[in-house]
Amino acid sequence: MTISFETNNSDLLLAKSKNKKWYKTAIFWISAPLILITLTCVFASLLPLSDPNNLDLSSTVLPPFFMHGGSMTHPLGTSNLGQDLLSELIFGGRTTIFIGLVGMLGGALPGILLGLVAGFSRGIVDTVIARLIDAQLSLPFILVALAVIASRGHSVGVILTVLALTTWPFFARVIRSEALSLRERPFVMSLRSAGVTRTRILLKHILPNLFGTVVVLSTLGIGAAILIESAIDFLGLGVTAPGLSWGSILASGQSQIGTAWWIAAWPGIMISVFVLLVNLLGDELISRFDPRYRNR
Amino acid sequence: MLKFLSFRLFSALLTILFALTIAFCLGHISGNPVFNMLGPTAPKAQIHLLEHQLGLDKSFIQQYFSYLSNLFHGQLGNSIQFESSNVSMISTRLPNTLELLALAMMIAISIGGPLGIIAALKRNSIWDRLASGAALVGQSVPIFWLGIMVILVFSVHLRLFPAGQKNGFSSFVLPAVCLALLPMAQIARLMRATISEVFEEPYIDAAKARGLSTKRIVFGHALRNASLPVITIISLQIGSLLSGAIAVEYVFGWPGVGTLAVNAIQFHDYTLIQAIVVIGVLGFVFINFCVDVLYGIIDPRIRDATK
Repeated sequence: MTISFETNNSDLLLAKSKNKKWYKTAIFWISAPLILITLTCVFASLLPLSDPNNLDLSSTVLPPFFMHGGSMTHPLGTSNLGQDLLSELIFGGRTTIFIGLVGMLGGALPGILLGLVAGFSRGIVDTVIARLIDAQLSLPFILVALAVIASRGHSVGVILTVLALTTWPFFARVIRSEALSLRERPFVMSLRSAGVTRTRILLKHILPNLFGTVVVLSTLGIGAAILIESAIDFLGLGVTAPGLSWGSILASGQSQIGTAWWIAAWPGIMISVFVLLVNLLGDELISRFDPRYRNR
Repeated sequence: MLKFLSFRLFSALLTILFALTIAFCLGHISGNPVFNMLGPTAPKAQIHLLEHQLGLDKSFIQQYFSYLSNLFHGQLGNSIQFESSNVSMISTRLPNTLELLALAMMIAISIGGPLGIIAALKRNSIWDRLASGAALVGQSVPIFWLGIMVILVFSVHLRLFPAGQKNGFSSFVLPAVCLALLPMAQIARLMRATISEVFEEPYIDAAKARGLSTKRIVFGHALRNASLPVITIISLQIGSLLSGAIAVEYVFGWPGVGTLAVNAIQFHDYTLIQAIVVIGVLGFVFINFCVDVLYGIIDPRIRDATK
């Protein structure tokens, strides 16, 4: 959902830049592989892949094709239970990317709302929300995650809650400081003196001005959410089979690192590449939206 | 200065109270720990007995206030699983974690700082590209995976460093480097930005006009102003550094608080989890308070702003 939102958005941005053809911009070259990976994972069940839950004990721990003993039937090798790692990766990516997107949204909505309210109303409301942001930031995210998951069990809902809990202060902090400076700008002052209601100023005038910030934060938020989710899965507290994810494949490969390094290597590479692309996209969007960065 | 100090102290205490409340609520929204400890088939009488022993049969508000008063008296309760005092269990492991964190921060500052300065002075040079690239990669690679890969290369194949446990200086190298990567990248990135910004200031032009060498301008004039935001970010990163430490300790089997936290979760030992969260929060707020005071001492504008 958000991915398509981003592409529309980058089209819009590309239209603005006059001299460059759309296929020559950095945003295109960053978002194209991102969309490709996402689409491959989303339509995993349409691809000619073996079932990732298919255990084949006659071909366990096969190496990838470029090593001695590997073959193209299992291009990336097999796990210790004989599962094809390529199909495990693609199906696992579906869970990881989905949780990353929804988790980011779960943190973004309350974060943006609280940040707006805090920055715009100031006074006691602002003090309370600002302290709440500090307090939430002071709890290491893994501890929050562990404390909730430990007794609520391993379900997708719980993990999404944890992601929302751990990511909202990042949104709230940035939005709050932007709203604080926006409310002092002459156009807001004149709106207020013209008697426009606070809610209307917030939604119709301040929020659109924060559009760029929100897009950048959301992009970076997806990367952060995927990293947190993978850490939770890796520690064995996340989604368990049949809901495979990159983090849980990685965890299953940790114990066999001496004999079959590829089981842990592939999911780690996938997480790193995906998050790297997302972060690059975020950086590009910052330089598009914020004129202060344009000439750097 | 006294007014500034008391204002910072007050807001630090407020942050602690909030964080403790969040920690308390986390322990309670996570359901009745007694069921997890005794299993679903335990007889009712046994459940009631344990609930009474842990004070879980009192009302929510009563529990909250007894939790706060216990904290105030320095009591963090006893571990349910390991049957010893939480404070003593944490304090035997805390030095290991602190040593690791301190070494990681030292590596991060001593490499990230100079890298950022070089990148700012020679913009678009190979060093600048290297610093920006390293920063991006450092923010994208999951730290636990990095730990596993580092073990694969340096302990399994090259046999240069031990793969785990704390045993002499060589065992510090791999976990400390892994832990240092992310803060190092962030320090380098921020240092580059702030040095570039400070170099646009008129007083740097004045220093250049006086014919000072670049070295003297950087170390004598620019670095002091540029390092203020860097200090802030370092203090803000303590929370994510602690998160990273938990993952790294788990991968390397390090006998620190992070491994203890993961064990506590696996045994559903909620009093121990709460105690670890409380210790983490106190440490974080203490460091932030120190940074605030340091800030006030270095920069008179901040000290005077609260008057």
